[in-house]
Amino acid sequence: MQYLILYLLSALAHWWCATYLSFHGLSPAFMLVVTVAVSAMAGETASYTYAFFSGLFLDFMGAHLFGGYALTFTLAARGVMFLRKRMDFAGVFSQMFLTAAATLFCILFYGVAGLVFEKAFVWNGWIYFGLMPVLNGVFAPVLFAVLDRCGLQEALDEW
Amino acid sequence: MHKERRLANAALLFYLSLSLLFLLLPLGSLVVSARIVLGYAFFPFIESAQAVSQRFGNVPANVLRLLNAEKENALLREKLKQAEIIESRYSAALEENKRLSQMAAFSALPQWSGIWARVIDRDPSRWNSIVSINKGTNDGVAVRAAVLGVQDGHIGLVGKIIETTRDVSKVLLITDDMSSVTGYLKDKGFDGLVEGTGHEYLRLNYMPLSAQVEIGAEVLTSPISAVFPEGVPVGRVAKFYPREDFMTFMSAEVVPAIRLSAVKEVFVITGQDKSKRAAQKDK
Repeated sequence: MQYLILYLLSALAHWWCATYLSFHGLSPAFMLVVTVAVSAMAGETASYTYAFFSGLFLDFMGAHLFGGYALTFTLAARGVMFLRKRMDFAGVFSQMFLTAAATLFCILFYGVAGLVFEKAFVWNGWIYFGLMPVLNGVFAPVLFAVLDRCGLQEALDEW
Repeated sequence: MHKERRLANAALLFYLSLSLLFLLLPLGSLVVSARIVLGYAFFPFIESAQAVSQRFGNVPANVLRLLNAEKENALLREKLKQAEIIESRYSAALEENKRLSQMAAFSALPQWSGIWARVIDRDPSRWNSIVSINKGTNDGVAVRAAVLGVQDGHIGLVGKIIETTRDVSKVLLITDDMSSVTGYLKDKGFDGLVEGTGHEYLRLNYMPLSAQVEIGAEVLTSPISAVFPEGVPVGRVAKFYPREDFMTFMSAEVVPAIRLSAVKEVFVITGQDKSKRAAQKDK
C-alpha cells in the first residue's frame, strides 16, 4: 500500500513539476529521482518493480518508444544497486552524484534506445543534457531526506 | 538470502524482458488501447490534481489581490473623506464668496469709512443679543461705533460696539432687549424709538397716534441719533400692536432689515460719515 501511495504521489509530483516548475523545458525529473532514492534505500525486488512502473508511467504519458523508459529506469535501478554495495549514499554529495549519474545514464541510454528502435537518437539538446543532471542532483538530497524521514526504507523492506 | 536474491534477479529479468517486448513487438494498437485504459486511471487523477492545483494556485494571487483591494479601499476611503472635506470647504467658500461679493458691491459705494469684520463668536444662550467680531482697537474699532451688515445686497443696521480689546470686539445687536435706536419712518417724517425685544423682531414705540403708517413701511436710523449714522435701514413694519386707551402713542413690530441670527460679516464704522466730512471741508 505504501508503495502504491508513493508511486501515485511521485506521479503527481512529476506531473506538477513538469507543469508548474518547468523553466525552458527543464524541470526536475521527479519519477527518476524517486526511483534512484528508492533503489538506494529499498530492497532489490521492490526497487526494480518501482523503477519499471515509474518508467512505464512516463512511457504512457509519452507518445514514442513505448517501454523505453521502463527499460531505462529498470537498468538505472540495477546500476544503483550495483553502486550501493560500493558507496555510502548517506551523504548529500554522494546522493547528488548518484542522481546526476543516473540522469546522465538515462538520457544517453534512452537516446540509444531511440536510435535502435526508432532509428533516431533521442536528443533534447546540450542544455538539457548539461543541466538536467545538475537539476536532479540538486533536488535529490531533499527527496532522499523526505523519504528517509517518512520511514520509506522500513516500509519498503517490510513490503 | 539466496531466495531473495533469486527473486530479485528474476524480477529484474522479467521487467527487462517485458520492457524489451514492449519495444520490440508491434504493439501499436495494443499500447493505444492500454493507454486508453490507463488513461481512465491516470487522467482523472491528474485532472483532479490540476483542478486542486489551479484552485490553490490562484490563492496567493487572490490573496494578494484582496490585500491590494483592501489597501486600495483604505486609500479610496481616505480620498473620499478628503473629497468630502474639500467639498464642504468649497461650499463654505462659495457661500463666503457670495457674501463677500455682496459686500464688495456694498463697499464699492462707500458712504462711511470703516472696516469689515468677521463674526467669531456668538453666545448660544443670548443668540439675538451679542456677537464677537475679529477686529479691535488695533483696527480702529471704538466703543459705541455703529455696526452695519449686508444681506442680499441690502444694508441693514446690526448694532453697536459695547466692548473692545486689541483684536476682538463685542457687538450689542439691535434685537437685544437693552438696545434702542432712534428711527424714523421713511417718507412719514416722524421719529420713533426702535427697541430690542430679545427675540428676532424689534418694537417701534412712540409713533404719533395720528400717524398713517402701513405694513411694510421702512424704518431708518434717525438724523438725531447720537450713535448711528443717518438713513441706515433698521427694518420694516410687520404689524401694529393694539392701542390701549391710556397710551398716547402707537407701537409696531419691526422685522430687522437683515437677519441678525445669521449674520457672518459686519461693517464697523470707524470714521465720520463721508458726506458730512465733505460738507465740513466745503465750509
